[in-house]
Amino acid sequence: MRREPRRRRPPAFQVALAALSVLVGVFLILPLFVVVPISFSGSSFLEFPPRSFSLRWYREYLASHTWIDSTFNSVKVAILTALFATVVGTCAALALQRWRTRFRPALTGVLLSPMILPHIVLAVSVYAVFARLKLIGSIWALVAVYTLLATPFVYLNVSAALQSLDPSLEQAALSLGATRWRALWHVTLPLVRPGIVAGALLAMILAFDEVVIAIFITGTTAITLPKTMWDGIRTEINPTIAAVSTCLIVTYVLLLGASAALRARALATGRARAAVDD
Amino acid sequence: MSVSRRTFLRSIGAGAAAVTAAREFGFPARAHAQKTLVVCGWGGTTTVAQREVYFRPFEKETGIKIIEATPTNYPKLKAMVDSGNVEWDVVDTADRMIFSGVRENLFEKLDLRALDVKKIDPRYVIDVGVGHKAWSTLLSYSTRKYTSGNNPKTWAEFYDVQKFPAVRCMRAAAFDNLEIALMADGVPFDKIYPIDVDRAFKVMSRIKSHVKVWWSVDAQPVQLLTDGEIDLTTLSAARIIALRDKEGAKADCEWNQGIVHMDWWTVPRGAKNKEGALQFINYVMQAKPQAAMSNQVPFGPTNRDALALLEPTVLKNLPTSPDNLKRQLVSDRNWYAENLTKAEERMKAWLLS
Amino acid sequence: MAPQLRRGGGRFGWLLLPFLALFALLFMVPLVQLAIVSVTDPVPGLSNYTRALTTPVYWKVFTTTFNVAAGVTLVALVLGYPTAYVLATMRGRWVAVLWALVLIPFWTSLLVRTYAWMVILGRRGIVNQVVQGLGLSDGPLDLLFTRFSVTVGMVYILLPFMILCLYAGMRGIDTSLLLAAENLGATPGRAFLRIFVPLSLPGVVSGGLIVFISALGYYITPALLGGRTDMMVALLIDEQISQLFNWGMGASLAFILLFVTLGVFLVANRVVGFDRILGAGREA
Repeated sequence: MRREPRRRRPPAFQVALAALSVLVGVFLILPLFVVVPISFSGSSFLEFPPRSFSLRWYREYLASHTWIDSTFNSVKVAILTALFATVVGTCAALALQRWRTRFRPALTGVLLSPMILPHIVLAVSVYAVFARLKLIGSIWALVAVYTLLATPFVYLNVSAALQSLDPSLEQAALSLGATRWRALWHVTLPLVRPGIVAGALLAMILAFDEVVIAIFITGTTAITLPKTMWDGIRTEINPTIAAVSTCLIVTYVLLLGASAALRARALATGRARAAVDD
Repeated sequence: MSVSRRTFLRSIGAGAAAVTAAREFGFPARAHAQKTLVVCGWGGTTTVAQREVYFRPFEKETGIKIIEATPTNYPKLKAMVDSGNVEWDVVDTADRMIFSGVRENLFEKLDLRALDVKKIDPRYVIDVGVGHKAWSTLLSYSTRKYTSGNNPKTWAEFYDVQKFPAVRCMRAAAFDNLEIALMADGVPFDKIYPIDVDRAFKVMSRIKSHVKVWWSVDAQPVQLLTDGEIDLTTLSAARIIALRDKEGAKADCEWNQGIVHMDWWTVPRGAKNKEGALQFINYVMQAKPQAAMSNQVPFGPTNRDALALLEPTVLKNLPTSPDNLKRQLVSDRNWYAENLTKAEERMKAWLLS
Repeated sequence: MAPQLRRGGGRFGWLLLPFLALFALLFMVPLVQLAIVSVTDPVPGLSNYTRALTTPVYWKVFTTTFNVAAGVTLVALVLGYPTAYVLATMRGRWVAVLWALVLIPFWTSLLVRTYAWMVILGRRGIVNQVVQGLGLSDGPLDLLFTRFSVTVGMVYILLPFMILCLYAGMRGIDTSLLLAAENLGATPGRAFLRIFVPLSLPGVVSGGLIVFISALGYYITPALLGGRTDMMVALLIDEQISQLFNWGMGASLAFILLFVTLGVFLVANRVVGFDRILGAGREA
């Protein structure tokens, strides 16, 4: 999408927007001011403000096979889920947008239903299926279920993005001689990329955060991070989970920073190259 | 009921198995089935302690490798047993679930001749399990508020909102609360069961509007107590004692009128290593491992000889030490077997009204 | 109207196959299983359903569930829309920071962020300190264990979902349309209301559906942050399945939830036309 130069908006609007977004930003970051300090707390229950300081929870997390394995498992599962859910969900969105059938409301309902059924109920019944297939403890079983659950997220986002699309663009590609699939791949899909990315992100988050189904489907292997966090909750909650959260946030911020830097560099080289070409 | 469900599951399974026949051949049966044992426990510090005092010594003595599974999850256990593919060999099961588990036929009947249970309190040996650690629900209070022993010492005092104005917290369930209400109303221990549910709810209604927090996860009252957000609550002994002694939190508890519960070692029906499971149970029920466990986490041992191995400083924190036991009510899981569902449904209605 | 786009509709239907295959194996099969359990456990018949539909407890809990979910969705929409607008249409360092902040709630685990809100909203928490410091109240406000704290806790985690969906919907909007409107004499406010907002509706629908439906299934956050009347249906379902082993009842409640939600969706769809907004194929 072309970005035109900033328009002069009425100052009141500008100020109100800025204020509200700052408020939302504060709301989003407020819990961090609790989470990060307690990750450095010396006591083994969640205490705020912490009376003493210690790095033991970070040691506990980073030096533990279980914790680190769980983290990598979760990342693996999240990426695989995002991949599959994106494909399945995008296909579904395209299907429902273009296939003019009177079943559309019903099919939309079908697409939404994995979101509606409580996970505990799905977990218990899916367990029976996977137990027979001897797939309990398999990462693929988990990815399969998560893909099912995440597809509605992708479907909804891609649908919304498709809807905003100007159909004349794809039409133009077709009239210029492109096949239907080429037009789709080279024109439509890139234009709905924000929808696809948003859906993929939500799929990743779902897979990374989900705990109920993980408890059922993971065996003594392929344990995910949320499950490890829930272990022991019957006996205590100690600040290790705060340390884990802080580590994840730091990693995320670093990744964001790195990608922004890369993008800035690409932009700069692009401009430089363009300048040279002129 | 379970028959039709299981038949249906099996028919689905037959279909699925047909599809994955080739794959199944590629999966070896659990290798060295006799040489590994899967023990399912609660996780957290309990499992860490069990690892040290039960699992490692057991592995050393018998050569059987223990694989830990956590946490104990009842619907998963039932799903496992129903599907015929049981991953766990020994499960640390709570009191309340024993009879639900029996009703659903989830446990193996243990061969009591193969078990060495002479030293175990006979109340804690049943055909499907051996009770191994007792824990109590205690009246717990903040010492930020009650600095000089002026805390409520009985449930009647807990219920006395005039004499003891405080921020109260109780469990959002009928479990334990019904007994507490009856005790507050002056019912002696031996008359508590069978519980007069109507009377209990009537008594509880006295205090309903004065309870600020209804907890569902017991980490909640722990946090709220240490944060000073609440003054009085019901809490499990092991938690409050760990808070008080290990962490120096400003909280304490009363053993008076506590309620004793038991956790049991059980073997799921269809477990793959039943002999190993019995061996394990025999090993950890001995006096020395039991005492070692109580030294780590203040659960009450059930092996009578274990108590003799413990220091008085430890004994005073255990639910089953004679001093504490005589002041407490022992929870009756048989009553809960019949009445848990109805009681909890009524509790929900009561909470919502 | 482009004839090519009109035809070939049926061909696209095949793209639904991957989802339907997954759905059939991992959802239909469990669903049928559950349906059977709901009418056979503990005794064959509809006893579970009649009990669920005639006991006041379940009615109350269902009502609470839908109310809470609706409230959370509304708040998330109100807070999320301006934020998404900023993210979608503006640039600058603050926007980058805002992006970083939007996804932060995802990385904090449920337990830890619930605890954080307990601290923030507690009697000695920062909100109370600010409020009392500003003299707005004499004593500490009881913010915790109320519908308010439940809403805060749930909005915290669902707001990023809403923002992402709204953003994805807004990015596709051609802002030159707004410029054109202004050139034709509309005030920026009018252009915004008459052009931007309607164009952003697909994002609003996708975000609203995701947040509303997700919120229906929440029970842990309400249990930890809410009062005794803030009971959500997923809590009951979990209890029936996990503790009471009444799988028949648990399944029935889950089915009722499923059908009521789908029913609400289909009825609302008649009025609002979600499926139309989401992609009734604007074939020219």
